[in-house]
This record gives sequence, structure tokens and C-alpha cells, in this order.
Amino acid sequence: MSGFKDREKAEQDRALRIMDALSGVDGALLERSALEKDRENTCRCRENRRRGEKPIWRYGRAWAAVFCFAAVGIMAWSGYRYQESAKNASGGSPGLAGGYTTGAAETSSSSERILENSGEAGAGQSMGAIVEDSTVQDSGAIAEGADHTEQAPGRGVLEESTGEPESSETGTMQGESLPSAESSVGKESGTGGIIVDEACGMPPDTWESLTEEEARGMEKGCYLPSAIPQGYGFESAGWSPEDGKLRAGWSRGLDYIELTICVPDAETETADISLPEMYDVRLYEIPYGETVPGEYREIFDDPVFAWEDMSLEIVKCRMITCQDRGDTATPRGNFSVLFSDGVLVRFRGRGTAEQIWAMFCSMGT
Amino acid sequence: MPAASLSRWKFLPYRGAGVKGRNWNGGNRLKDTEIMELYWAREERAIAETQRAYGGYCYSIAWNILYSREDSDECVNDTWLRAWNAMPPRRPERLALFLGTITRNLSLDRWKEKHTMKRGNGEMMLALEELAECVPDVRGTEEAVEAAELQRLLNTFLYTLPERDCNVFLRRYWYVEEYGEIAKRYGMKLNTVRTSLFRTRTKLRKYLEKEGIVL
Repeated sequence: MSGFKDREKAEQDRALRIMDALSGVDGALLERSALEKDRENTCRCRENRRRGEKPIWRYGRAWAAVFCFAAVGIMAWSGYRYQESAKNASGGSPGLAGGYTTGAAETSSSSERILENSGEAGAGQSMGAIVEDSTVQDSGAIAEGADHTEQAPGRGVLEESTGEPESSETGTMQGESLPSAESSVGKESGTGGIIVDEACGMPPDTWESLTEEEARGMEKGCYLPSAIPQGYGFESAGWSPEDGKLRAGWSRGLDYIELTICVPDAETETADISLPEMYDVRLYEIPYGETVPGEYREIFDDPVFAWEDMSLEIVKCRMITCQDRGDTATPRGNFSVLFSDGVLVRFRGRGTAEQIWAMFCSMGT
Repeated sequence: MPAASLSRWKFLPYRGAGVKGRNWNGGNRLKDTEIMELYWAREERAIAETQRAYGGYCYSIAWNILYSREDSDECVNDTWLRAWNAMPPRRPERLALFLGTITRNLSLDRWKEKHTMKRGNGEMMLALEELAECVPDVRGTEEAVEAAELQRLLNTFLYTLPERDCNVFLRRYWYVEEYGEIAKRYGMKLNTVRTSLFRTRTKLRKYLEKEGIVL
């Protein structure tokens, strides 16, 4: 015990020696420590700190974070808008016609002027669609997308405009400049207005609504598949007496299948299956507008395959799974099949490749 | 003036005694040069002016070491006596440091003499305990280092430290200030002060060991 105390005493003595030696510290060092106090006293920053306040630059990190979040938000929103507009421009989405026709409609309120403007801008898929949308604008409706277009009155105006040579000329030009699934079918059918309606998946006013049985009983009803993927239920069907198109749709929650059956007037060019780069969606990344070469775009957007060329592998080439927030993970895709009797079946919807292939195999039976 | 004639100063306790954090530089006081002129002119007013100017400063140094009002007052009064005897011939560049050093030495001597502080009472014991960490191992005892050499090494060491660490170290072990007081002075967090001192002590120990110092 005493040894411990002795040791403690010795340590204390040595500490005292250091303490004594510190008395000989340079005055400059001591003065500096005092000066720092003065400096601190005069420093507004320190005063603020003593008062519990922080100068504004003390929040620099927070401000930087806020600025970054704002910048990222603006960029994300801009990117989203750009992507949306790019998607519209690529013709892959239902809002295609609406997006462009809205722009056309904003430039003019009269049908003639809209025709000119949309022709110059290369907007829209067909003149019919443009006129229809512009009519919507004139009637005061909000026409941001094709789904607005389809509900708008003015189909008569559409037909009048479509009949004019200038309009058809313009429509061809637009179809070339903005290839899309709808445009390719539209060129085949020669009626642009229906294209827009097909795009949005709902029959126009001129379509006659049919039950599933009635649809199957139609002339081309045999091309409605008997093997619908599991879980799908019949939703609607329609018949267009003007161009003889038959369409039918099935749905399963957010998933849907839409088939449009028609007999193209003109000869339809089918895709060369030996060139998968023209139609295989797995080879490219979204957005396709940036990755798919321009020369393949028209075919890529909605390839038409000859039934003889069709196989499960071809269907797999066209089905893609997109991880969209709030959406299902069911693969989606679109393509058309030209049967040997000249019937064109356009598919657009969701399902596994096997299900879709089985569905096509059940057609005509 | 003989020292005996200054005895009345011994009974003139500093008015601000015991008030920590008092601004010892405040008030309309004479400049250092003027005070020193009074010393050199052997005017008794020099003591009064010194006490007015540096009474609080010296008292705080003594208080931190002795933790006793009476002892601190005596040390401060002794400081004036020492200053009176030292000037002339001395003419210190910084009167405050000159007086502060005298007070500190007197206080340390008094602390050693009386050693009345109970363990754990007062900053001095704590400071000594902390400084004991800096003492190199004494095994293999060699010739003890001279005080002057130790002073030189300490000065050298302190100049190697970052300014802030050096200041904190001196505030703790020269002025024997509390952690909280140092933290407040430099606008630092308490833990930052602790960490700074711990690191400096570790550095000092290594430095002294490297220099082969045996205390």
C-alpha cells in the first residue's frame, strides 16, 4: 500500500517538475494563447456561437444539400418530361398523336391552318388524327393525348379532311417521318383516324360495339384466339364497317391484350427474320429512340411477320419486361402477323411469350 | 521603498477576488510602459495601478492552482512585492506575462509547501494527475534532466504543436484552467478540448521519451 502511495507521490513530483518547467514557457506562446482569446472575442462567428447562433455559412452543408436536391429534382422532372415527349415522338405510346396534335392545335384554331402547320411540323400520324385533334381544340376540349381525341366530337370533320388530296399527301409524309405501330397499320388501311383510336385501345364512335360471341361470329372472327392467357377476361370488341376492321380486347388487372384484325388494301411488307436487329427488342435498350438505328425504326416499332416465319422465338424477341413503378412485371410487346390469306392480326398487350405464342397458335381454329 | 513598507499591500485584498472570468484587462488603466515607469520611479502608486490592471488576472492564476481565497490573495500580494523588487533593473516586455509567471511560480511553491489540497479537490490535482501521464518510464534511471533543459525541450515541443493545441495545452497546464473554461474561451466543444489535451499529452510523452528524458 505504501509502495503504491510512494509511486503515486513520485509521479506527482515528476508532474510538478513539468509544471515548474512550464513556467519557463516562451512569453510569445503565452501571449499567443491570450491573443487568440482576443481574436475569438472579436470574431463574430465565435460570438454567434456563444449566443447559440450559427452564421449562415455554418449551414453551408445544409444549403448545399438543399440546392443539390432542388437541382436533382429539376433535372429529374426535365428528364421525365423529355422522356415523355421522346416517347410520344417515337410513336410507341398511345399518347403519340395527341402529343403532336396538341402542338399543332396550339398554333392555329382553324382546320386549314392546322393542316398546314401540322404538315410543316411533321406532326401527327395521319391527317385524320390531326384534324380530329384540332377539332377537339376548336371545341374547347383539352386535347393532351389520344384518349382525349377519341372522345371528342368532330368525326365528320375528320372524314372531310381525310378526303382532300392535300391531307393524304401530308399524312404520308408524316407517316414516314414518324414511323410507328399505328402509322404502319394506318398506311395499310388508309384511314388515319382509326389509327389514333387503335392506339388508345378504344373503339371510335364509328365502331360498332360487339359482344365476344358476336365478334367470334364475324367474318374474321375465327382469328380471335380461343386460347387466351390464364386470368384474362373479355373486355370489349368492336367492328368498323367502314374499313372492315375487327378488334377485341381482354384484360387482367393492369394487363391487357388487344387484337386488331383487318385485311390490308396494299401489299404488306413482312420483316426478314434473318435480321433480328430489325425487330428484336432484346438487342436494344430503352429509350429505343436513342438506341435503335434510324433505318430500322419503322419496322422495329411494329414489325409484321409472315405466319410462316412465326415461332416462339420470334414472339420472345418482341416481348420485354419493364420495371415500371406501380406496374406489373408481365412482359409486354406488340407485333403483327400476316396470315397466308392476307389477314393481318395486330397484337398489342401483355403476357409471357409462351402464352402469346399459344394464343396465336389457337387462331383460325 | 523597503519591503516592510509594503506590508499594507498585504492587507489590501483584490476586490474582484474569487470572481472567475473577470475581465482583467478592463477599466481605465495605465499602459504597461506607464506602470513600469512608476516602478522605475519607485512610486508606490505602481502597486495600486498594477493591482488595478492585473489583479484579477494574477488572482485567477493563483486561484486555479491553490483553490483557496486566502492563499491566492497572499500570492497576488507577494507578486506585487516581487515585481517591486524586480523593477528596476528589469523592464519586462510584457508586464502581464511577467506578473503572471511570478504569480504562478509563487502559487506552485505555496501549493508544494502547504499541500493542503485534498485529493480530487481543485484543478491543480487534476492537472498534475494528467501531467503524470507525460512522465516517461523511470526504469533504468539515468541522470535526471536539468530544469533548464526540460524548459527548453518543452518550449521546443510546444512550438511543434498546432497553434490551437498549444493554446489549449497552455491554458490547461500553465493557467490551470478548467476544461469548460477553455472550451468557452476558444468556442470548442468540451470533448474536443479533452481530446486535444489527451493527444498533446501523448505526444509530449513520446517526445520526452525520444529525447531520453528522465524526470
